[in-house]
Amino acid sequence: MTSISHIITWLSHVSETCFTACYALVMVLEISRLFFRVAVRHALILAITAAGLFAHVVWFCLSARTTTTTPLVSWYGWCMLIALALVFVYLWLRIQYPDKSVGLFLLPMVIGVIGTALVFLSDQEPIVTKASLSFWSILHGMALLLGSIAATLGFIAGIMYLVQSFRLKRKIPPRQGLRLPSLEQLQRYNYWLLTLSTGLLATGLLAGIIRKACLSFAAETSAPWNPIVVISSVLLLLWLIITGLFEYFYKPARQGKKVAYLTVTSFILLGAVMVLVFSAEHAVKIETSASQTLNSRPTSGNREVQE
Amino acid sequence: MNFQIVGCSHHNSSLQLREQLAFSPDDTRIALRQLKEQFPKSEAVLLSTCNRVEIYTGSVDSDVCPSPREITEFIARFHGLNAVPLFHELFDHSGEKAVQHLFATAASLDSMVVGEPQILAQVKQAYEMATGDDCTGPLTHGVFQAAIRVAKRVASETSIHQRRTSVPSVAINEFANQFFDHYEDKKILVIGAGEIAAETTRYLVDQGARDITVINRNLERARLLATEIKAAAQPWDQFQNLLGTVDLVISTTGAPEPIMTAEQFAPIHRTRHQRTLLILDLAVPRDFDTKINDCLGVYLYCLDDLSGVCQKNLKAREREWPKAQQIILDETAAHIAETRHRSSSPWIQQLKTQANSMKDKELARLFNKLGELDEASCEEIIRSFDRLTNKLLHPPLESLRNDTTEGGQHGLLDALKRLFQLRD
Repeated sequence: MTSISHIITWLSHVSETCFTACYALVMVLEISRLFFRVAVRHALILAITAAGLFAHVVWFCLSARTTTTTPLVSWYGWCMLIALALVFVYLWLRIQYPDKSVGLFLLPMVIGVIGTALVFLSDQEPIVTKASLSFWSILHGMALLLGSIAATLGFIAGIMYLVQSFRLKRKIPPRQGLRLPSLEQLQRYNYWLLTLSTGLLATGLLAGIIRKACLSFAAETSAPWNPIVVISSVLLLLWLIITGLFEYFYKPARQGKKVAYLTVTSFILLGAVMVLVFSAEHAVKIETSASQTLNSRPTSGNREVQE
Repeated sequence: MNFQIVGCSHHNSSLQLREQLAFSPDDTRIALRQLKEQFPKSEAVLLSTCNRVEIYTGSVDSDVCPSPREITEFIARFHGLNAVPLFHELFDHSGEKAVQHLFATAASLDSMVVGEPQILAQVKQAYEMATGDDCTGPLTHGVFQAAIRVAKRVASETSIHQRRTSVPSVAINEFANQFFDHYEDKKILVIGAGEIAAETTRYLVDQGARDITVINRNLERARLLATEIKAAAQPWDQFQNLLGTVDLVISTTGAPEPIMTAEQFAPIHRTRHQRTLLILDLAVPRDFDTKINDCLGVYLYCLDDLSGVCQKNLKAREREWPKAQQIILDETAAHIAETRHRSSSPWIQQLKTQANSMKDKELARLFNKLGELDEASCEEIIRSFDRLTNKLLHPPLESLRNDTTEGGQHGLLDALKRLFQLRD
């Protein structure tokens, strides 16, 4: 028992810095592939990525143990979960296709998402306790989270497709250290990720609307509809519907560059909507006391949720 | 030895020029016939491939061998071109350098993709065609047979041919694999039924391709290839229909004009709905108009586009290169020496015969004078005369051999002819 508690105490020192440093190191190793060959690099990348993932998972478990909330319901936890999922995908791809330079595209996104969380969102507290989660809010959060992961992966696949297509169209010979998956593979990933992200994001948005409607019916105290959230969500939903229809009725949209453009646009729109929704203080707690500064960490429940 | 080569290759000329100067098999026959008429005492072999157009000429007598200028003018005249710009575009080698070039070419050291196996077959084919048209002679027989032997030696003694990197294999392994990750469900159209088409399809079949259609102007040839690779053969009029449905096109015809222009491709492109289409145009002259590459979702690669990968292959084979090169140099030197020996051997033979005849006459005269001798004494006298003749001939003949090995710079053969009054 003592040794287990020692391990837990030791693991409690694991912070965001640990896994972020691991991912940054892996990214440096990936970039170094462009310039020289080292036999042990692949093993080193796998080991460091696995170590980073372990630290990431431990950090999540410890965060969940020490709070009464779930990481899903804070923007910070959300970003960290997206980063975790992206690293899992990266590790899988690295094992499956060790000669492909997927890391050059995936890891900057991982670092970017973690960086955004650390710089802009670390002060945000979870807004819903585990006990208060309803079916619709779980569906809303989960579908949007998975949809965001799919859209992010789709964006990366889209960028890779466009880079590969650009190279092949201009007949640039394959370069050692910069080998991308085949156009066919990238097109397939793009198509499935676009379809998946469209379905999940639409489900998430609809679940959010239903959840809000249920709350409005059930309680008179519920916060009013936020026009920015409503407009941006409707715009995103419209885009997703148009994308779906476009794909269904316009054959070229299912293949080639068009599907890559669609995934990239979907991601950019999703990012814009996220920024708008966040700036509208959707799903964040608002300070009731004017004396509290923005940077202070909240300690009690004297806040109300801006829906 | 009067052996020379005039031509152009991917090293010194553009694809456009090679396209202009290319000889189809029928053209080659006509050109060989014309060469024979124009230079009746000269031997000639014409090698025309995607990457080179070379005319090898030679004759035992230097006076009847056409000059590089005459060959250049012949090429220009044959293709209806102005000869003046060609004087700067075409290269020429003679003697040892020409032999070395042929050996390096046959051994695929001079190929765009070093180590590609087709070139040896193409050299053999060119030599056999010239032989069939009665354009070859002792000089070309010797040098081309040696080239084939040297190519086999390079292949067996070095690993320069390992990890086969022929144009078809580079086209499939280095280019097509960047587009497709598997071939089982891909529709593939092979245009042409020649050697390149056959080898390319074999690579595709090895990679799992199942749905292959071969078309050719000669349907019988298409059927032959299709049977060999378990593919389907279609008549030529199905070309445009097939182009609308396939994922990969391998084009290898010998057509003098593009078989598909951008204007012809436009309606086909519309029916494809921008589905990815990879066209590997391995033909010279090109079969597909280069403007087709501008169409969305269409990727058109021609032979020159392979050059980047070929450079990479060259680097990978650098370690084996000196060894292969040394074989070429050794074999060239040996062949030149052998050729020169061969040219002096009739004279040596004549000298030996002359000496033996004199020896036999002197022996007969001596035995007549000496009367009855026992058998042992007779044999001893004969052996003694043999030794004397051999000892007398050995130093001049060795000097002659050394001189011919060095190119006959000291004119010993002429001296020998005059000293011993040797005649044709």
